[in-house]
Amino acid sequence: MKQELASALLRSGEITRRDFAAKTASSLLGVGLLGNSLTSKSFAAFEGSSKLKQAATAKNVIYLYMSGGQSHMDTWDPKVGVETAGPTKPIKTSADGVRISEYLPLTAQQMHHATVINSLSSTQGAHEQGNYMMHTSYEMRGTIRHPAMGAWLNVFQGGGNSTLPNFVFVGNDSRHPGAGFFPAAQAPLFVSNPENGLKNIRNSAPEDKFQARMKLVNELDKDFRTTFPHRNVKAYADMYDDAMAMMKSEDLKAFDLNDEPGEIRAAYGREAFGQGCLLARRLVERGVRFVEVSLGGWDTHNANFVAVPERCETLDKALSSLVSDLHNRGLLNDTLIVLTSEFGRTPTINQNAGRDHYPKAFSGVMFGGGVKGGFTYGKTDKEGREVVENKVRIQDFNASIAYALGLPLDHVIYSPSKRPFTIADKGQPITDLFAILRNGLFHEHATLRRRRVFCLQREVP
Amino acid sequence: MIPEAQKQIEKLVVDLGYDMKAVMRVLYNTQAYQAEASREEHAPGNVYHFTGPLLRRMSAEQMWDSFVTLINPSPDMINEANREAMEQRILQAKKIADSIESLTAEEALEGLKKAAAIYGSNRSRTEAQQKLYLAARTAYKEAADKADILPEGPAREAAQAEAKALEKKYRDIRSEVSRIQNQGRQVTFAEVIGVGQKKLYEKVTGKPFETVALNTKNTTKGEETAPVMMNGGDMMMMTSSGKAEKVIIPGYDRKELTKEEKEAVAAKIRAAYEEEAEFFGIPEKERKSYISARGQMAKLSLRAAELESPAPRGHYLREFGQSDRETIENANDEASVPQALAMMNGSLLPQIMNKYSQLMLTINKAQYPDDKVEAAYMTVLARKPTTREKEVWLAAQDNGLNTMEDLIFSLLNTQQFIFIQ
Repeated sequence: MKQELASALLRSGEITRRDFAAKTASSLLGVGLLGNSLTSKSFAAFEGSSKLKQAATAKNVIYLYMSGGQSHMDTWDPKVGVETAGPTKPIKTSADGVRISEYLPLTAQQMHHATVINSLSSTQGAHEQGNYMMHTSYEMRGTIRHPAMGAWLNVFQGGGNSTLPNFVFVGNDSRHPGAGFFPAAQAPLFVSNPENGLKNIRNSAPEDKFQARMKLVNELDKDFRTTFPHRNVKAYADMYDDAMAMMKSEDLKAFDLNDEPGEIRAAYGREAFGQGCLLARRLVERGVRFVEVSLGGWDTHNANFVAVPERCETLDKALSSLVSDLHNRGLLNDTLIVLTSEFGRTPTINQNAGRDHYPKAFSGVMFGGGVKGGFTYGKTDKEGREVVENKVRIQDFNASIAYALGLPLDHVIYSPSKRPFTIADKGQPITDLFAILRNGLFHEHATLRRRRVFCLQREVP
Repeated sequence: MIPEAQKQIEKLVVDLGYDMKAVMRVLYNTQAYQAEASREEHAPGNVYHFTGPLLRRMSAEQMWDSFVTLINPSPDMINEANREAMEQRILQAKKIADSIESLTAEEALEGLKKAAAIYGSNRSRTEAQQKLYLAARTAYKEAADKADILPEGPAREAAQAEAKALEKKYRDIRSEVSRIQNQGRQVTFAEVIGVGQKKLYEKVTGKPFETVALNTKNTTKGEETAPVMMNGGDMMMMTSSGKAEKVIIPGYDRKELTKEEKEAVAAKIRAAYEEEAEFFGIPEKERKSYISARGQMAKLSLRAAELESPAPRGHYLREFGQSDRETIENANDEASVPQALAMMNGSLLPQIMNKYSQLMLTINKAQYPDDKVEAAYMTVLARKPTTREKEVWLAAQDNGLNTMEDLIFSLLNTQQFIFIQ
């Protein structure tokens, strides 16, 4: 793999001196679009990226992240009659042939909407690195931060709603790559407690007083802004406008969970995760396009068979309610629910009756958003140790999410340090997961596509 | 970097005997450093003819410290309690590391074997309990579901009571599992780290370690030979015999101050606050509330350098682009909506407007309205207001903005506040 990349990079250097000069000049001068000065040859490093494209099958993504490493053996890939199964038993679901663990009885009733991927395989076996890989498709390193999918979506397709941020993260997980090398404006809005809503969104002064004060701000700052008509100064003025628009936004009602009938709130589960899923639905209804909700506590090194059923109880209520609620509101077709984790857990049960980290084989699930219902993709062996059919790398998994959103997997974006990156790091989308081909055709010919290269500049101080 | 300048600075560093404070003093006094920010925006890639420093936003830490100095009248007063807590944390971690280091491989292995034996024997116990747990949990769920569908009445109540009993049963099993799991950890601590701590004690003091039971009530108070209770709350250990003990090692655990010493420290701080109160002309009857407010401030308004870095997500420092320390040079000074929200509606504003904040004390000390406005400008923007600004403020007063809070709110939300000119 490394060698392949190295030789591709070497080949990518085979450009004429004139091209090289043009390229260097344009990138040093901060010219945004490199396109014309480059021959397609210089993209050789990205020859592996997928050219598959389709009309998006999903508008929104609700990404449920099971932080800590969810045991695939006790959730989406339960086994029978082997020692590695432990006391966990599979149950039948609403979809023929799809079986999941007995700890998820409510979700079992929604599996006709789901595609289960039992053949995920990661290369990262530590939490931080695994989490990073899952969110960005890239390996973690000391020299750069890669963006999470929500940030890529922001950059390529912009907002679905003018006043709420397009990318929201609900939960307490402190590790999230956020906007990566993109500007801070592409970062997710962090909501640590769904019940408390947004931080600092209300001003304590009466409305007319607040407005008068802000008017005074503008008056007092006039001289400064004329003296320094700099980009960053302007950016602050714009951010204040956005913030004030947000404070007045009708869409802020999304955060008033008390608007929901008591039964609905109870059905999602009163825990932060359940209410976070409810909030995710309310945000998606108002046009927020990427919402991540995280549920921790899956790191079951000890007493796995006590801890996992407990976690599953929280997950089961929230997930089953989310799927049925979105379905009932006609939103499930447009909304892709993705559930996954940094890695699975060892089939072998350790001496603390727990399971340890296991990136080699684990599971992810998708609901709605154009994926097939009641479908299982990939397989592990009898004991859950090895992928024996249709291995899915993390890059492929993420490429499939991007594919559902209609994001271009082969568009190269340059980081401010002038390094080229693509969504999902050349992952191949698994088209098999998707039920309908809306346009009936995949445009596989590179010549049919217009190639655009984005170059994002962060101002050098 | 200009080669000539570099050479000059190199020479300066050597001449000053590598005293970085002295070097900084020279640099801060150069015209280049003190010049007003350049008015032109510099496009990346172009040669910059130094017409002054570039206009920069304050770093997250500078912003935070600006807030702290607006709130806390003496932000540089040494904060002993904070330092002590920080040092203790480091020492406690060092204590564990050094304890393990002081064991030979054989000694460590011996302890680990004991721990492994406990873990080994606990495995079957845990597994048995887990099975019971799953069965009990299912039984409870079934009972609860059954109770749910019954109509209101005594039958339902009975069913609910039964479910409740089953719930208690499964929760008890859950606690039992935790207890068994905990045992392994306790034994590891006692047999590996504990043994190391004793050895470390002997190495440090040159005296043999004597076990002192702390959980026995008959330890005579004030007994000379018994070690004094220490700061820092390191873990109590349960030895395999179930006796709690704590190895106190000089140099790692520090003596707690005596009552008299504590009072002396408190009196010193109080005296400093009294002096401040005097300076700001706080009336005698308000002194007490002033001193208590100042105590709070000293605890909460710490300079960025005294806080852990990176600050937790959502903290002002992080909102304003403090580095998460995941990659080098990862701080940023980009605008974001949460920043604007924090400036307009955040919890620091009320603290800045508190009547005992540095800013309000300074303003209230000024006698006439004009002086008050000047004091606000000097404290927030480090300059006097211009004639136009005074006019704007007068006009605003006609529009119902008539308190100093209105002016302060506006000044803090200007962009000139967050940019360095």
